[in-house]
Amino acid sequence: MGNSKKNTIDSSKWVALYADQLYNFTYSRTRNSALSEDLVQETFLSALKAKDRFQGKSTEKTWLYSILKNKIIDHYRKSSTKNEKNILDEEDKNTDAFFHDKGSWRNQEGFISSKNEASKLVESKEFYVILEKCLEHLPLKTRLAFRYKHIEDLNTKEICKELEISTSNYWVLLHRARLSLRDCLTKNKMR
Amino acid sequence: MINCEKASELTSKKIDKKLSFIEKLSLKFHTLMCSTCALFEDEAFVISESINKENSKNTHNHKMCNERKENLKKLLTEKK
Repeated sequence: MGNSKKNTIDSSKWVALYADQLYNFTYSRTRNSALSEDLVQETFLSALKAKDRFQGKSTEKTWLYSILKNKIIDHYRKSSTKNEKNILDEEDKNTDAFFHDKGSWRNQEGFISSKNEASKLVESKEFYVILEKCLEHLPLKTRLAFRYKHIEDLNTKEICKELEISTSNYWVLLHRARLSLRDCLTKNKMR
Repeated sequence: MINCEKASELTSKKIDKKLSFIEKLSLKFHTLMCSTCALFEDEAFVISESINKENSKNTHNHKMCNERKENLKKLLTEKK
């Protein structure tokens, strides 16, 4: 009885069963098709190598997803140089670019002019392409903080550990990310 | 009375965790009088919610190209 419930793996069906799902998962996070294909391929190859260590505790699908998630995070990690990684830029912490000395907005014109407009804009496909572009312009740790939180859905503890920052720095980075995104989205506003 | 910089900081904090009672009040009071900050709050919330929704539902169905899939199949049988 116990044995029949144990999950097994069959690599000959992986492509047919999971290639599109894993690709879709990666693409909606990276917006880069070549990269997504490579990451899915790496996932399958790593899974194949680790096949014997699969214990059947989770389903094959869950197992593949967990490998893929690690690949995506590895990719972000590698895309930063070592020097970049160890420095929390002054740029990361500073909000002067967005406010006058007395704390009023430098740029009064925001991304939206009404709440309805915001909902409409984010529903368009174009929005995610622009968002991805805007994210690329953020300083490294700011970008990763935002990505890990919203796109990879990691928790605060995991993110701070990965980025080697304190939680208070983390809140500052997210604040800064949102201010930068507002500016960038305003400039690239879809018409 | 808080300024816009502080208000935006509280807005961001509100997305990620709970605000204290005092913080809630200060933000509310500020956004009642400042339309720019009120819109920043709407915008920040709509964006973060939509990204979360987009990722959890995988609404858009992006597919891998068939050629690449065939290659991948071959690769997996070879390495098996």
